[in-house]
Amino acid sequence: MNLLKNKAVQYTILAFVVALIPLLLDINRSTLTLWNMVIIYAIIAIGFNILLGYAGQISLGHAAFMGLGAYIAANLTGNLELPFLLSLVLSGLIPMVIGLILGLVALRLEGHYLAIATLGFGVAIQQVFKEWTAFTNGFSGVRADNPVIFGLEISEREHYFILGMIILLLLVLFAHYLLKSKTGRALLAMRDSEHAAQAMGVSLFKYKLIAFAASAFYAGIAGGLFMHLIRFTEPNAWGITLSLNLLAMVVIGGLATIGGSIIGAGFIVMVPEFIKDIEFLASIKSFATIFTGFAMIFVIMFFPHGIARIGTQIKIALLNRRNSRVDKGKGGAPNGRSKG
Amino acid sequence: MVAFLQNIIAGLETGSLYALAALGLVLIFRTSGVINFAQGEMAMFSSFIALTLFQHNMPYPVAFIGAILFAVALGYIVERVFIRPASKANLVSKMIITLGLIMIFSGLATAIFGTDSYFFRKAITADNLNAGGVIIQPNALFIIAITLLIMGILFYIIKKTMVGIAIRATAQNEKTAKLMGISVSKIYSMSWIIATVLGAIAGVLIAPTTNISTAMMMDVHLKSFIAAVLGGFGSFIGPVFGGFSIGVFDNLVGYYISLKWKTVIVYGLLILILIFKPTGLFGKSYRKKV
Amino acid sequence: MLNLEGVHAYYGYIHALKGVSLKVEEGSIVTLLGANGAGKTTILKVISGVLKASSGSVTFLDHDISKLAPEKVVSEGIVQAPEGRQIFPELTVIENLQVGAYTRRDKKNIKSSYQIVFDYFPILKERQDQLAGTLSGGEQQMLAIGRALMAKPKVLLLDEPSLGLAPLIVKDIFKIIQEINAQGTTVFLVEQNANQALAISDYAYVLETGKITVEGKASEIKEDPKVLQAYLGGH
Ligand SMILES: Nc1ncnc2c1ncn2[C@@H]1O[C@H](COP(=O)(O)OP(=O)(O)OP(=O)(O)O)[C@@H](O)[C@H]1O
Ligand SMILES: [Mg+2]
Repeated sequence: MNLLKNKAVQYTILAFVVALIPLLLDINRSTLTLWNMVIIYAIIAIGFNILLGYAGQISLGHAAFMGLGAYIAANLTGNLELPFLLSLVLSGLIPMVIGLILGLVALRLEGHYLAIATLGFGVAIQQVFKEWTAFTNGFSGVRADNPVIFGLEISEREHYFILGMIILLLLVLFAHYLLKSKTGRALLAMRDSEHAAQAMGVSLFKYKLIAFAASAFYAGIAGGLFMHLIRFTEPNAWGITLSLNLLAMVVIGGLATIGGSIIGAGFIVMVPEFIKDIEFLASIKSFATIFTGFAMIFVIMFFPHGIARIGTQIKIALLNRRNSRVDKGKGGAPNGRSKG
Repeated sequence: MVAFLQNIIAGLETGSLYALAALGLVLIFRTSGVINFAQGEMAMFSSFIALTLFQHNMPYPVAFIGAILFAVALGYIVERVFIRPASKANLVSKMIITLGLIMIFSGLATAIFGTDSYFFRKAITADNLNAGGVIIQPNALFIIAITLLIMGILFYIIKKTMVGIAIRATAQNEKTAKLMGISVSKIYSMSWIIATVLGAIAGVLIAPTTNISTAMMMDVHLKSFIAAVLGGFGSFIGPVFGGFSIGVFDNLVGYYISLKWKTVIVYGLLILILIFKPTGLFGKSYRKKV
Repeated sequence: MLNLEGVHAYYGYIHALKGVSLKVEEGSIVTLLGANGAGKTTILKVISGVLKASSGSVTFLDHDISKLAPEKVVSEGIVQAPEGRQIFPELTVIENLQVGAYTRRDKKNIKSSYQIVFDYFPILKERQDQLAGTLSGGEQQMLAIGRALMAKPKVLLLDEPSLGLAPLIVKDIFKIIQEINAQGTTVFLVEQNANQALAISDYAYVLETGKITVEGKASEIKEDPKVLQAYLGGH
């Protein structure tokens, strides 16, 4: 029974159970497309969380990596007729190399400068998507076929869901072990204080690069999966809007949690759907965007650990309150003001 | 030569607007330690107010002033409601808040004003001047002149007046500023108001070029970041210099190198500056103590 | 004039002041002695309104100032030259002084205040257009005191003005503090340099880990064996 307490085992069981749901229930195709989108966003969000939540590095340009993954997948399976799985791996690896380069840039920058640089990076890459028509076909966009794995064509959404779930599981497990290892602790140390981390012997060089590379890899894989699910893409999909949504997923779901990334992905995909069903809200154009913006701000102000940890946070707050009453007796409430 | 001068003038025209917006960014950054990523969206919103007034048959100056008054209120409210409660939060959280504001304002603008793009008139519609083959729009001169005027006033305030000294004192050491009797919260409100107004002015003035739409400020906003980075966040004159330079550079690259790849080149430049001269060309190392 | 009664204050869970009561009489120089970390600066923060007392009262000229924002406390006439000087390094000397006068309503008389400050500290006049960050430590301390004087304070709070300065300069500064006091400004002085501080003071308190343990006339404290041993012995 101890095995069940193991997080990795839990993830695996959960993934298999969820993967089978669409086979058992009769769910329509468009709903399943959304479910697939949740998986895809979950993948990029996990990678982004390694970067922002664990390593404390912000990026406003990660949509570019996902777009890159999508275009690579389209070109490799389409023009070069590479097998789907190989192409998918490459659509993660090539962005990863570019992520490494961005990581090198990040070595010299911190905080807001990094945000500005990555914002510029995102805009520049999106512009490349628009102009490099040989690769992207410009605004006319590119198409891709259903994925074929060992001769089997995946055309049903149920099957795509299973495929996505397997890939998500692998990436979750990889992230889980990566973050549980020395690397995870080094990243957190770096996030909390680069100086202190360096003093403890953490190589900023190594870990910033790891964080950028991993996040770009996850984003590229998400892009590849997206390409074969939707089977069409064009440059407008890969701009600042997606980068902001990505930020929202991770912040709302929970910084520095794998589960939170998945919850955040669900939030971003599903909120517009729920809104559609409420007539009054549906009549307000782009209500989902407004709501997401508010939600992100609300969460970062009041629940900085995200939805995934709201429960824990409330518990801690209650405990603290009780303790502080006990150890002060008559002194009156401390007024939490401290410089910092 | 004519083409070159033509590009310089066009560059100075847009550059002056980048400079205005960059000044707004730097002002807020230096006082409250926040980069306002939403400045462009806020300016877009103010421009829509000008448009709405204009569509309701108000004269142009009234529309202009209406947008400015709206910006005053908007800057004040945003600081009060979103920024001040988070004054103790860390840098990344503060950035996330202003990034969330982008979503809120662009969403609200779509909800209220729709996704169409609207023509908006120039401030000056007189006939073009011809100076030895170089065509000069009076409106371009007006824009350059008015931004220089605004910047002049702003510099006077910052350099010479009590308020300006208080702003700089707060930027350097907020705690001590308080101990000296400066109402730091007022300084925050004021810098957000001024910055939002600067953005709004840039928005209304760029509108004839871009049309008014939810995406209208994309370019100005992003270029204002480059201007601020180029000039450095550490001084107020730097971003002005940065704004004009980036305006001219952008035009020259577009004309002489490649219109298609101009954006990529300009952002490549941004990243290069950040790597090699993160404190900007004005070189003063400056870091807001948070 | 300035009264603290049973003041408690916290930094989060750190109980920094545990029922501090003290009085600063009008026209006097009162010294607060205490080791590092005793809570001296914390007392000044509470007086200035930067840190709110969790209980107890702070009154000035018989009205409660414990709830006032820092800038309002300055308007009341209580001004600090904070620990570590905290001048504005990228403002010029004269601009630093101007900031000091920020709350003044009587704009016309500000000119004469510059003169008063320059009379106390002639070097500041020479350096008036220089960036304050380029001043020496002693000059920065003078600027910090001068800046506080620009507000025309009724009570001047000085947090360790002698810290890190050469003995000769310390002597000067203490002399000037005495002069400032002679001109009618009440002074509340936080010091570790007990000998010299007591020499110019009327009354003194000793603070130990958030509690006042000894108080009395400065001349008597100087003779107090406990204080002698703890704060004067080493010198
Ligand atoms: N911002 C803060 N947050 C948490 N604890 C603090 C803070 N400031 C001071 N303290 C603590 O409160 C206590 C009193 O500090 P305070 O600065 O008042 O001492 P002090 O007597 O002025 O010492 P010094 O002579 O070193 O200046 C110390 O234990 C200190 O660690
Ligand atoms: Mg102290």
